[in-house]
Amino acid sequence: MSMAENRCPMCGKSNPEEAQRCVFCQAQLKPLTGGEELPQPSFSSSDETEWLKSLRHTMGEEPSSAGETGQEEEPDWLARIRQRAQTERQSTDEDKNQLSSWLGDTGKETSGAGEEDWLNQLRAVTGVPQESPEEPSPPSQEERRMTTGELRDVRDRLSRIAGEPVDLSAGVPPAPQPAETTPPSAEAEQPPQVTAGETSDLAEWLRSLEYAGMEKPAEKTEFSIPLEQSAEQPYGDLAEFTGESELGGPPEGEQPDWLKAFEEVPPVEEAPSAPEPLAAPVSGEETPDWLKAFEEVPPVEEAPSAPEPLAAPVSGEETPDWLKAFEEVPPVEEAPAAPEPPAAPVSGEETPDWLLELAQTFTSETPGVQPSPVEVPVSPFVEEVSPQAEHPEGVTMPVEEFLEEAVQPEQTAETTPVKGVDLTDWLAELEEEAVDKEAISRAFILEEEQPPSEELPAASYPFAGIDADLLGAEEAETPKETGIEGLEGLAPALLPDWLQALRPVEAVIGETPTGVEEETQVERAGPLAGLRGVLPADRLVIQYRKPPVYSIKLRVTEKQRQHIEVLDDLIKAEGKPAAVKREDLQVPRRLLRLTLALILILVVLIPLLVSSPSVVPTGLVPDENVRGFYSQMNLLVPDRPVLLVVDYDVGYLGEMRFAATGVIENLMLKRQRLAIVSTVPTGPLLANDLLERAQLKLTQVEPAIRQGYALPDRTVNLGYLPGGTTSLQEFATFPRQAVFAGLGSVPGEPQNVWGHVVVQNINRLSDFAGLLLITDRVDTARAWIEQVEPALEGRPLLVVTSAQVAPMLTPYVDSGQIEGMIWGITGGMAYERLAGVPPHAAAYWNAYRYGMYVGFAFILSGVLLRSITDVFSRRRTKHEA
Amino acid sequence: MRAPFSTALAIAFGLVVLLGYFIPAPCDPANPGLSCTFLGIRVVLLDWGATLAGVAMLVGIVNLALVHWRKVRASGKERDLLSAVFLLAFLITLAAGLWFTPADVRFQRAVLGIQTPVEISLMALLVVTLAYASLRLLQRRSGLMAVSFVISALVFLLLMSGLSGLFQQVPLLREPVNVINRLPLAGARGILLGIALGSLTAGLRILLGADRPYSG
Repeated sequence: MSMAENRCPMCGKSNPEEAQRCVFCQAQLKPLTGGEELPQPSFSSSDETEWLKSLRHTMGEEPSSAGETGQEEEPDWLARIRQRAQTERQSTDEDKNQLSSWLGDTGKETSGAGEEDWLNQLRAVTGVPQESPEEPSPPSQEERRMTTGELRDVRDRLSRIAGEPVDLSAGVPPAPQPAETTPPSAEAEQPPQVTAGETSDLAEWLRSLEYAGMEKPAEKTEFSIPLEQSAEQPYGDLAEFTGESELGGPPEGEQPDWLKAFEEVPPVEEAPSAPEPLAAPVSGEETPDWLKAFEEVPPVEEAPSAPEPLAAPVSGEETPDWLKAFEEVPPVEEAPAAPEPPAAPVSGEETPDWLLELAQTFTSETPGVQPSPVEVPVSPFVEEVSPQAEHPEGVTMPVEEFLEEAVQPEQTAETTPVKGVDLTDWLAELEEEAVDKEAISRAFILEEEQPPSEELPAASYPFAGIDADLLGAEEAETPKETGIEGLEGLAPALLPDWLQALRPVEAVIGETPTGVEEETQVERAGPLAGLRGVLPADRLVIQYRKPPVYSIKLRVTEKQRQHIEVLDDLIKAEGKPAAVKREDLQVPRRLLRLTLALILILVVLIPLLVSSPSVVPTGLVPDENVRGFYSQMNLLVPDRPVLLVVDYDVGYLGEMRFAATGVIENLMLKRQRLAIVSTVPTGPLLANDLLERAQLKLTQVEPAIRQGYALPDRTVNLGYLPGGTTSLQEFATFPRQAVFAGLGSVPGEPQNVWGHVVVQNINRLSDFAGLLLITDRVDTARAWIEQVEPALEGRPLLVVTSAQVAPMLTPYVDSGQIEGMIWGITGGMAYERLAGVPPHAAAYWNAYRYGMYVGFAFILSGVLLRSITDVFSRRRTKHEA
Repeated sequence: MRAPFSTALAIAFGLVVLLGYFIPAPCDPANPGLSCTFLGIRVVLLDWGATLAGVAMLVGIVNLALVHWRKVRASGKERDLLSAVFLLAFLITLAAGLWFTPADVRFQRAVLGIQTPVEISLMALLVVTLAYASLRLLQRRSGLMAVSFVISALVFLLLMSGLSGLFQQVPLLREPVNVINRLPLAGARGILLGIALGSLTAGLRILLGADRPYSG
C-alpha cells in the first residue's frame, strides 16, 4: 500500500494521503501505521502480551535496566554464570593477555583520531555506552561517510581477526573456518599493536561486539571469531541487498526506496531487515523511530562470539556499567564446547536451561495460545528488535531462532546450543532469507497491526454485541479472534460514529472482554483467596440483568377478534338457562281453568238438583255378582249377629257409602244384629256414621224402622284392632282376647264389649252368621280373606268394595273364598234395585255419569288440541329452518 | 355373623308362627295338646306384636307433635304458623277425646266432620291431577306407552260411566265389552301372583337369615 494510493480498505475508494479516515465511509484508513491511534503495536493482545512480558522480563529488558536492576538480587543462573566466568577468567588469563597485546598491536596500526572515530561510531551504532564521558554527538555527513569507511576497516580487521584462529579457550578446538574467508595474509600480518588507551577502547568495543552477539557469557569462551564473515561478507551482501554502494549509503537527504518501504510498514516489518542500521548512519539522517525502537531494546541473543573474556584482561579494571548490563543478560548456560560449523550455527545437542526456562515460561504464561510458527517468532521480534538495530549482523537470525526454540522446545533441543556462534552463518542465512523477509514480515504486520479485540474497538465488529448477547461473552470472543485471523489480507476498519451511535446497548455491553482479566486476576477474598483465574462472582452478578419483561398482550387481527367474540358469546350462552318460550295462548290460562272447573261443577250439581233420587237410571242392570251377593245376604242366619268390618278411609266415603248403604239398609230391614270391628282407627266412626245414615234413610221411607231397629240394641262397636292386620290372626282365633274394650255406646261406662247382647254368645268367629267386609284396600281385603276366612268355618264372607279394588278381588270371588261381592256406585245401585230398598245411589248416579262424560271430553279434546298444535309447530319449525 | 342372637330369635319365632299355620287349629282347652301349645305361643307372640304396633302408633303421634312444635319455635324461613294450627287442633281433639271419650257421638261427628272433607278433597285433586298428567304425558313422552295409557283411560272412563251395560245389550258389542272388562282382571291377577311370590320370598329370606332387617 503506497502513500500515493491511500485507498480505503472498506470501500476501496481513494483518499488523500494525509487523510486518516475515509472521506466516504469514515473508516479508519491507517489504523495500524499511524502512531496516533495505535501507539503500541498490536501485541497488546492479552495472550501475546503475557508471553512478551515474560520474554522481556527474562531477557530483553534486563540489559536496558541493568543499572537499575544491578542492585537487585541476582538470579541463580547468573550467579553460576559469574562464578564460572571467574574461574574461566583465571584460566584464560594468559590468553587474554595475548589477545590484549595483539589488540594493542592492532591499535597501534590504527591509532589516531580516525581510529577512535570509527570505534565511537561503532559503539554508537551498537548502542554500547562509551567510556568517554563525552556524549557522542550526532556525526555529520562527512563523519558518517568516514565512519562508513572506517567501518569497512573494522570489517577488514575483524576479518583478519577471524582469520586467525585465536583460540582463547584451552582445549576447545577452533571453529572450522572456510578457506575463502580466511585472509591469506592473516599469519603474515602482525597483530595490531595498540596503546593502553586504545587498548581499553578497543577492548570495550570488542566487549560491545561480544555482548552484541552474546547471549551466552561464553563459559567456554571460544573466540574463533567467525565474526570475520559476519563483519565482512554479510555487510557486503547486505549492502548489495539494500542497494547501497559499499562506500556509502544513498545520497544525503534522500531516503532509499527500501527504507521508505520499511517506513511505511510498521517497525515489525523492518525487523528482519538487518542491514538497515548500517544504512541509517550512512544516510546521514536522524535515526528513524523504528530504529530507535531497536536501540531501546537490549540485545537478546547475539552471542556467537563472546568477547567478554577479553574485556576483563584488557581493561583490568572493574567491569563498566554497560558491560554489567550485558552480564546480567540471561546467559546461555550451556554454550557449545566447540563452535559449530557455519551451516548449523544454532544447532546443538542440548537445549540450554535458560531457553528451556524461557520456553516453559512462555508456554506456561500463554496456556491458551497456540502460537503459529509465523506469529510467535515475529511477535517478540517486532517489539524488541533493538539489538538488531545495533548489531544487525548478530541479531536477526539468532533472535528468530531463539524464539522458534522458545515456541518449539523440542526442535530447539537439537538446534539451540549456540556452539561457537558463527556470525557468518546467521548472516548468510540472513542474506538468503532477506528476500523473503518482506513478505513474511508483511504477514506479521497484518497480524500484529490488527490486534485482537483490545486494539480495535469492538465497534469494528458490528455483530460482536449480537454474538455476545446470543452466545455469551465467552463465545463471543472466539468469533472476534477468528475474524481477525480471517482478516489477514484486509485492513481493519472502524465503524463510523453515526453507526456506532445506532448500536444497541447490549452490543456494547457484550463486548467487554473478560477472559484476560479473569485469568490474571487473583482472588483476594473467600475460600478461593490466592487462586488465579477464579471466575469473578461479582462480575457475573453484574452481568445478570433483570430479565426482560415480555408483554402478554396478544396481537390479534380484527378477524381473529371477531372470532373470539363469537366464541365468547357461545360459551356465555352455554352457562345461561335456556329461556322457556312463552306459550302463545289466545285465551288466558286462568280463565280457561276457571271455565273448566265451572263446567265440571255444573255438570255434577245439576243432576243432583234436578233428577229425582227415586228414578232408577236406565241401562243399569244387576249382573251375576250382584245377584250372587244378594242371594248370600238372604242366606244369613237372622238369629246370629253379622260381623261388619268397616276398613275404608274417609276419602273413599263418597263411593263406599253409596255402595254399602243399600246392603246396610237390607240388613236393618231384616232385623239383623251387627257387631262392628275395624283394623283402622277411623273405622268404628265411619261404621257408626254408616249405620246412622242408613237408619235415617230407612226412617224417611218407613218411620217405624227407627223404633224397630234401635242401633244401641242391635249393633255393637267392638272398636278397632290395635295391631291392624297383624291382629287378625289372634282375632280369628281368640276374638275375645283380641278385642277387650270396644267403642262403647254409653260414655263413661267401662264395659266389656263382649257382654253386649249382640255378642255375648260369640266366642269365635264361626259363631257369627257371616262376615261383611267393606273395604277399599286390596291388602286389607286379602288379609281378611287369608287370615280370618278360615276361622269362619263356612260362614259366608261378603265384600263390598270400590270399583278400583274389585278387579283385584275378583279372583277370590272366582275361587269361592268370597261368596259375594259388589263394588262401586253401580254395584250399590244395582243392589238397591235388586233388594228393593229406596234408591239412594241413583240420585248421584247421573251426576257421577255426567261428570265422567265431561271428563272424557276434556281429556280427549286436550289430546287432540295438543296433537294438532304439535303438528303445526313442527311444520312451522321446518318451514323456518 | 352380624347380630346372631337377634337372627336366631327372629328365625325361631318365624318358624313357630309358620308351624302354627300348618298345625290344625282346633284346640280343646280341656285337653290341650301340641296344637294348643303352638297356638298359645303364637297368640302370645301376636299379642306382643299388636301391643308393639299400638305403641308404635303412639310414638308416631308424639313425634308428629314434636316436629310441628319445632317448626313453631323455629326462626326465619323455617318457622311455620300452620304448625301452630295443627298443634292447636291436635290438643283440642286430644282434650275432647279424653273428656268425651271416643264413644261420644259428638266427638265422632267432630272428627269425621273435619277429616272427611279433607280426605275427599285430596281424592278429587288426585283425579284432576291424573287427568292432567295423562295430557302432559303425551306432550313430554309421546310414545306408544303414553298413547296406550291415554286410550285406556278414555275407554274405561266410558265403560265405567254405565256404557258397558248398554253395550252388553248389543249382541255384537257384548263380547268385545266383556273382553275389555276382563282386561283389568288379567292385570290384577298378575299383580296378585307377583305379590304372593314376593311375600313368600321375603318370608323365606327372613327365616333363613339371609335378610335381617331387624339388625339395624
